[in-house]
Amino acid sequence: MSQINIVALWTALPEGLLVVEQFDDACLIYNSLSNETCFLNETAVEVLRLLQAKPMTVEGVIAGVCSAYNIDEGPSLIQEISNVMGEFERLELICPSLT
Amino acid sequence: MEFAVGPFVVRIKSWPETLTYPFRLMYGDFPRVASETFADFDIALDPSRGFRRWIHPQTLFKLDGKSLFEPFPQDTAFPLFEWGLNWCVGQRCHQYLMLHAAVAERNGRAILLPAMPGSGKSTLCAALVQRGWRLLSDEFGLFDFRSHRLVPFPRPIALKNESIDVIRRFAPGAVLGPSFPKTRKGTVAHLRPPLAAVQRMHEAVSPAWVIFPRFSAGAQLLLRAVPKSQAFLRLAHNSFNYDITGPDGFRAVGEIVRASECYDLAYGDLDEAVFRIDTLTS
Repeated sequence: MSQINIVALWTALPEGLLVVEQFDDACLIYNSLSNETCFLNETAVEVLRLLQAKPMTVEGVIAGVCSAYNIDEGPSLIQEISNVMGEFERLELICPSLT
Repeated sequence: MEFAVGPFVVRIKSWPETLTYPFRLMYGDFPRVASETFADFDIALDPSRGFRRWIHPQTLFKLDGKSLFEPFPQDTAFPLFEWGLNWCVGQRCHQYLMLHAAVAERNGRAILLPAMPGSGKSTLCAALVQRGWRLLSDEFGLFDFRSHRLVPFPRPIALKNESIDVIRRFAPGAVLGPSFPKTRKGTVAHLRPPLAAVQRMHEAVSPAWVIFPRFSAGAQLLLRAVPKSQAFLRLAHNSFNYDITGPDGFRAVGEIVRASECYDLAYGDLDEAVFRIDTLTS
């Protein structure tokens, strides 16, 4: 019997639904669907940017962030990105991808 | 009676005698408009009914013929009118991002003073205006989504309690209306808008500074730069209609913050605060 592996892909809301204001110190995002304004730090901005480019797994996002900042994957980074994605899901900035 | 104030036309259909003197003193320079002109706000200040009117006469604020609030004592008809007009603008004028802020202009650049009640915003605004800044508004920072500028809405500046004497001492020549004791905010007196503010009330201005004032008696003056992302969140929180203007409101706050230097200003001495702002902006 073959085993089915389900890999969760995540995607960000289309750019048209998000309005972004980038300042020197941080980034603010307005979500047109939820009418909420979100304050994002540097890591969160990178996570969102990756998920806007294409649907990704959590592992893919972690690898993408490591590549963007030229850093090694570590437990604290994995935890931070997991937290960011959890918060993004709660804020309806990302959702599971159907593709 | 119809008159223009900033971008709005106000019609007052009826009013008690107690409104007449303070209204003439405060709004004497504002242009009257023809009675057939469309009015943004159709207001009546009518006597309330019931037995109470024989003992303590009261006045109702009506908009489009409907009474919206509890009546005020008749001798506080002017503060009621001012408060009611604020309410009308706050409820209806969503063509603007409305910030709870004083706004003044000098050399074509505007300073925004967003603040919570009790922070010394009106006192500081009154002082700046007495030192040559043009009054755009004491209560509403109206940012026009189309022109991307701050639109003047120059009305009397409501001074409360100790601020009344502070401004009397600061500018002995300032025209202050009667004091109204025992309002919901204590004693209130209004500072007449300077003639230049009325004459130039159709000249919108671009923002250049956002200063969050905080008065504390005896405090040393402290001016501190505020990161723009924080200034954004504080301005959005300070807005009357950020939540209902959607992406337009978000972009507008972003535009204001990007165009402005942003500071916190703690002060305990009015002269010192005005001098510091003058130095900063000159």
